[in-house]
Amino acid sequence: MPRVPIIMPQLGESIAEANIVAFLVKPGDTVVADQNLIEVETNKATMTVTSPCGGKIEQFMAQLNESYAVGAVLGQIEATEEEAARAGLDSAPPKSSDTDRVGSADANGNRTRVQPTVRGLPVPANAAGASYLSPRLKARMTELGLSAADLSGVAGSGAAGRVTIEDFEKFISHLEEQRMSDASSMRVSVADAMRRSWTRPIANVGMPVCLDPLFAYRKVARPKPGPALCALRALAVALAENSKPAGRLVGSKIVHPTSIDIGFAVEAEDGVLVPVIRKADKKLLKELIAPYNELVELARERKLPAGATGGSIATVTNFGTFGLEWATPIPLPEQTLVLGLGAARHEPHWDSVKGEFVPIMEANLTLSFDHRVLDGGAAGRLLQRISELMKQPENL
Amino acid sequence: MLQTVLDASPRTDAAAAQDVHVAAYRFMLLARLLDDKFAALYRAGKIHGGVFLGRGQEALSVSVGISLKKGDVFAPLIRDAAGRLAFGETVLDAVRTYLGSSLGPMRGRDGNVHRGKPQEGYLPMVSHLGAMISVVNGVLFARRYKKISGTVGAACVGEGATSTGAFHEALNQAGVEKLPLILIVANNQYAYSTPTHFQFACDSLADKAAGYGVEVQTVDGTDLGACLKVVGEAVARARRGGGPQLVVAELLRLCGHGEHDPNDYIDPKLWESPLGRDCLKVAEEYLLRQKWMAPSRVAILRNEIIREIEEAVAQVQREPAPDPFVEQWHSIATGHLNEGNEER
Repeated sequence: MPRVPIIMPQLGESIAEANIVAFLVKPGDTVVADQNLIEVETNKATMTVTSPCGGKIEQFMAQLNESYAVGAVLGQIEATEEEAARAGLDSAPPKSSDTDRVGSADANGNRTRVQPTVRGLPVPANAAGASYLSPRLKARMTELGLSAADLSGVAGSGAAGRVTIEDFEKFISHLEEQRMSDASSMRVSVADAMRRSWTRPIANVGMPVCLDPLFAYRKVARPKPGPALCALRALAVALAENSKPAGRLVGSKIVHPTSIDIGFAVEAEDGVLVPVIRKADKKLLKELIAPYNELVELARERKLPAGATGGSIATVTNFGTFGLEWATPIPLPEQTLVLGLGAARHEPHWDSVKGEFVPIMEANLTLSFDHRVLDGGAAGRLLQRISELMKQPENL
Repeated sequence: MLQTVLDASPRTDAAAAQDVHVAAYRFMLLARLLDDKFAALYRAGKIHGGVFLGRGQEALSVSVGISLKKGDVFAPLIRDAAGRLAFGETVLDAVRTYLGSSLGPMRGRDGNVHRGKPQEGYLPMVSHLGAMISVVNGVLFARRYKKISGTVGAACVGEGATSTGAFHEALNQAGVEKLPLILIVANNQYAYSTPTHFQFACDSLADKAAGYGVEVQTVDGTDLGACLKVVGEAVARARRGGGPQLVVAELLRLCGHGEHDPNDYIDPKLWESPLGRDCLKVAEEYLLRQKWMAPSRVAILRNEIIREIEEAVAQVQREPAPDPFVEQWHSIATGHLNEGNEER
C-alpha cells in the first residue's frame, strides 16, 4: 500500500518553520483528502496542515510543541492504491535529474536547522557556488570592491551551494583576523588581466630547441642577440608568414592582426611589464638588439613611455631567466599566444653520423594559446617553424 | 465569452437572462471550488509560493469574463479566477500553474497568477497593481493604429491600485484618447491589510472618474444580477465608442490576502454588513428563487465540478516539473509569451 508523506507546507512568504500546536487526528484514524490534520503555528498565524489524500494515518513523526522546517515530513498516510491513484500520487513524478526534489529530504523528520524552502533544487552545475550571486551579495561585494574570483575559496551553504550573504560576512570577518597588506596597483592590474584571460580555454604545447647555432652566432656577432630576442624575432617572422594563429576570436569572427607588434615580459617590482617591439617582422635581428635592450632597461626602471606598451599581438616570456625549464604562462587577455623560453642546459643528443651521444645546448620552447582559436596541430606547426628559424640566427 | 453562444440562439430576454445567470453561476462555483482545492493543496505542502483566492469577488469577476468577447483584451487581477474561467481559461491551465507543471502556461517557472495568453488578448498580470491599465491602453492603441475596431479591453484592479500613480496616468490617457477601456475597481475594503480610510479620502472611488472625463457606475459586488447588468452595459458602451468606462464595485474580500494571511485585521462589523454577503450564496439563492435551477441540479453541478477539478489535479500531479538542464534561462522573452515564435 502506498505511503504518502504529510509535509510541513510553506505557510507564508518568509516563513521557514512552524511549531506543532495540535494533532487533529490520531494514528489509525481514517481521513479524507483535504482534511485538516495538524494545527501549526508560525510567528504570524495559526493554520492547519491538510491531508494530501484519503487513507489511514499510519504515524506522526512530528512531536507536539516542536518546530519543523518547511518541507519536513510530519507523518505518513497509508493510502489505498485506488485513493493514491485518484490523487495522482500513484507514481512518482518523472525526475529530470538525479538530484532530490522537494519534500524527499529528511525522511525521519529530524530537525536540524532551517533549510531553504526548496531543497535540492537542481540547478546547472555552473550556476552553483560563487558563480550565482544574489543582488544583495553583489551590492555588498561592489561596496567592498570585490569580484566573484575573490570568493572562490568560500563553500556556499545556500541552496545548491550558493554563497549566501551570511557566508560572505563570515568570510570577511575571518579575513579581518589575519594580517593583511595592500596589494600594489601593479599586482592588482596583473591579477585583473590574468583573471580576464583565464575566462578562455588556454592550452599549452612545448618542444626543445637546439641553441648551439645561436651560441655559435653570438661568438661572431656584434652586438650579441640574446635567446629571448632571437625567439621574438623568429615568432615575428613566423607570424608574418601566417598571421592566423595570432588572430583573436570575437563572437563568430576571427580578428586578424594588422601589424606584427610583439611584446616581451620584463619582471619589474611586484609585477610584470610588457614593452612592445613594433613591426618586429620588418627589421632584422641585429637591428632589434639596441631598441630591445633600451626597452628592457626602461621597463626595469618602470620608465616605459606611453606607446611602448599595449597593442601587441603576442608576447614572449623568458622564464628561463628564473632557472625554469618548463612553464605554462597565460597569454595576455587581448592576445591569443604567449611564447615561452626555458633555461638552456646541456643535453645528450644522438649523433647518427658519429654513432654516439654528443652534448648540445637545448632549451624548451612553449606556446600557450587560446584553444578556441588554435588547435594542437596549428600550435605545433607554429612552434616547429619558430624552432627552425632559431637554428639559423644569421638569417633572422 | 458567452455572447457567441447566446447570439446563435435568439430567445426572449428573460430566457437569455436565465442562460447568462446559470452560466455565470457555474463559473463562480467552479472558481470557488477550484480556489478551495488550491487552499487545501497549499496547506498540504503541494504548492510553493503564494495562493491567492477570489472568495467574495466571483460575481464581479465572472461578469467581466462573461461580458467580453473573443478578441477582446482582459487583464485580470489575482482574485479573478471566475473571470479567467469565463474568458476561456481551462481548469488544467490554472492547476498546472499552481502545481508547477512544465506543461502549464508558465512551464513551471512561475506559480500562482502570472499566467496569460497575450496573443489571445489574455494578458499575464504583473503584481504592480495599476500598471496593467497602461498595458491594456497600449494594446488598444495598437489596435487603433492597425485599424482593428469593435474590440474592448478590460483591466481589473483593487482599491489599493487607485492610489498608485499608474492608475491616474492610465485613466487620464484613456479619457483623453477615448480608448475602449473598461476599468473595473473591486473595492474589497482591504489592500492586503490596509483599510480604505488609509487608501482614499473621497466618499466614493467613483468620484475620481469626473476628474478624467470618464463615465462611471457603481455596483453592489455581492449581487451577480447587478454586476452582470452594470459590467455588461459598460462593456457595450465602450464597444459602441462611448470611451472609457469606470466600474466601482463594493464588496468584501472573504479570505486573506493570500492563504498565508489569517486576515484577523478585518473589522468584524464588515462581516455582518451587506458587504460581507457571500456573492456565491446570493447568486445561488436567486437562481433557486427564480426557479432557474432546481436544488438537485445545483448539487449535481457541484459534484460534476468537484470531479472535474479532482481529475485535473490528479493528472497534473503526474506531470513533470521543469527541468533546469533543458529549460530556457532567459527570464523575460519566454517561449510561452512568444507563443509559437519559440526559440529553442
